[in-house]
Amino acid sequence: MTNVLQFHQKIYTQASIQSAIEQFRDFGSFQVSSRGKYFEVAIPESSLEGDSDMLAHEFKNYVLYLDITHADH
Amino acid sequence: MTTFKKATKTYLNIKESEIRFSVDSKIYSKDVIFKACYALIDKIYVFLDSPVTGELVVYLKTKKKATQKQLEKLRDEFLNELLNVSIRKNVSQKNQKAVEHIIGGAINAALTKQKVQHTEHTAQEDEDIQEIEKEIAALKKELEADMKEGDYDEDPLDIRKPIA
Repeated sequence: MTNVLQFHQKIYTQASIQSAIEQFRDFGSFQVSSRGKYFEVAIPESSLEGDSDMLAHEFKNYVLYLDITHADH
Repeated sequence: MTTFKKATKTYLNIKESEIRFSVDSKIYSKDVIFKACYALIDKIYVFLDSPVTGELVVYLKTKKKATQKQLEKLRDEFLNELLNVSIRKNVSQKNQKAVEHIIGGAINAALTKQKVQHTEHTAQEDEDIQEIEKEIAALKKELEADMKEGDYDEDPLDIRKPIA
């Protein structure tokens, strides 16, 4: 079973998602794909240690952080 | 408990310590929303979605259990920050030309002053060199005159005595 996170393509960039996956690689193999207007990131259940929701929220927060800091203001 | 307030389009999920509300992306641009998120991102979990075109949904979730009041306060804080960032952006855009003009003028003035100082400095140096050359020429003439006047064989004061 996997936990799938959806990131809207108009808000989040693939580069930030890839960068976050690289940073979170110690927590497991995150698979990214594109579906409709969303990027989908699958986090395998086996890779989750402890609170799986917390990992998902931390990951989403980090992707947003990367997009905010890399956005050209 | 999940409640929904139609006026603010706010969904509260007390069990998950999460509040969700929509922001009109025609009023607030993406970069303004991003900056508002940045103000809160180190304290709470922030997530953005856009299920409907022109509407951006903001999810705020606390890292610890939160009450309804605390969650609503977070939403209000976020909305205040949105306004704050938006106003700052507008003021910055309005003043941009004036700021560019002032900075441009200051740089121009500094460059012109530097150029004038440099030119004046060179002219002064030339004058000094000419004066030094004149002094050298005058000293040479004096020396030559002294050499002519101070002839050893002439003895104008008649002080020379023959050696016995």
